[in-house]
Amino acid sequence: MSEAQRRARHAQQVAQLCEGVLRAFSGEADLHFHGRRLHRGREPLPWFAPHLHPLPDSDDFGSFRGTADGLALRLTRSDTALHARLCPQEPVARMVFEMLEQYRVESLVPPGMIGMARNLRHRHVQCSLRFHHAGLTDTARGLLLYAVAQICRARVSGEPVVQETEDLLEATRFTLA
Amino acid sequence: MGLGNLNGLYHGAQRLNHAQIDRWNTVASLDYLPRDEEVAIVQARVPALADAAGRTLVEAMVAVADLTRKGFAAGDLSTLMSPRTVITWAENVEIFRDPAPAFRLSFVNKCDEAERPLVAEYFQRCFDRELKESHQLSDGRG
Repeated sequence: MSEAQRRARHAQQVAQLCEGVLRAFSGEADLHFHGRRLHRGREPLPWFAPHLHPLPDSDDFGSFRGTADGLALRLTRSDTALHARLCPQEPVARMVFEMLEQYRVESLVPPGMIGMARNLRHRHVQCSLRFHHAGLTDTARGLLLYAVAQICRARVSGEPVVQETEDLLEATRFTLA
Repeated sequence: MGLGNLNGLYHGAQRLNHAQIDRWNTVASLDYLPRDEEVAIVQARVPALADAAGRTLVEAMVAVADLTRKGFAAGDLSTLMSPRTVITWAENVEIFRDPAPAFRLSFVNKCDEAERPLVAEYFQRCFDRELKESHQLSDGRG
């Protein structure tokens, strides 16, 4: 088996496991990934929040687990019609709104599912550090966006901000307060 | 009531014919119990798990069972966990003092081998632990 075939097979296995968890948690039998996008039957679902798009070649299995769990909560704990009605039109505002809704639903892990909570945290940490190490926190707008994400998730979930970048947030946090 | 099923899971159970069903003037449809009631039943059947720590454990066990039921309904699993299986699992926890080997002996060994990685995913979501069939353990990148 060539390297490309091995990677394709690995990605397929991961997608099948994630789909299985999504179907079991949501009770929706027609959920599946087509490419890397979640579909309900033949209908592609929205892209949802930015951290729900791990890359097969660079993200670990834990990130895919966290993504599947985040999508499962998004589909079951969010009011689609209300969200669509309140969602702003401006692209950046819409992205932030979507991100905040995702953080809200990720705080609603059912009792008895501690692994799901850990997977969501793992994905958040991995995505935050990737954002930071890519240099996106070096710009004022990037840092503002990052700080909003960290502070809001910490507030909603009751979990601490990502430790490695905690000091980085202080000035922005003070400005926002 | 007595309708049997189409996939052979309850093969051997006697189903009622329609003439017999028609003699009943009240027909109930039974589904699985709400999660809290199932937890209470398991705790009542296994008093060693009746305390607060036991309730946390049983909640996780019932959450796994719920995932297997929905996975079965979605066609991903060919076996599911009945309330009786959860009670058996709880009794085995009392014996083995560890939910993972007790889960294997109560349910995983009944599952098709191809379906075990998915069952391991369900278990990880509820216990934050890996079964040996878990993809996480075979994934070189962790």
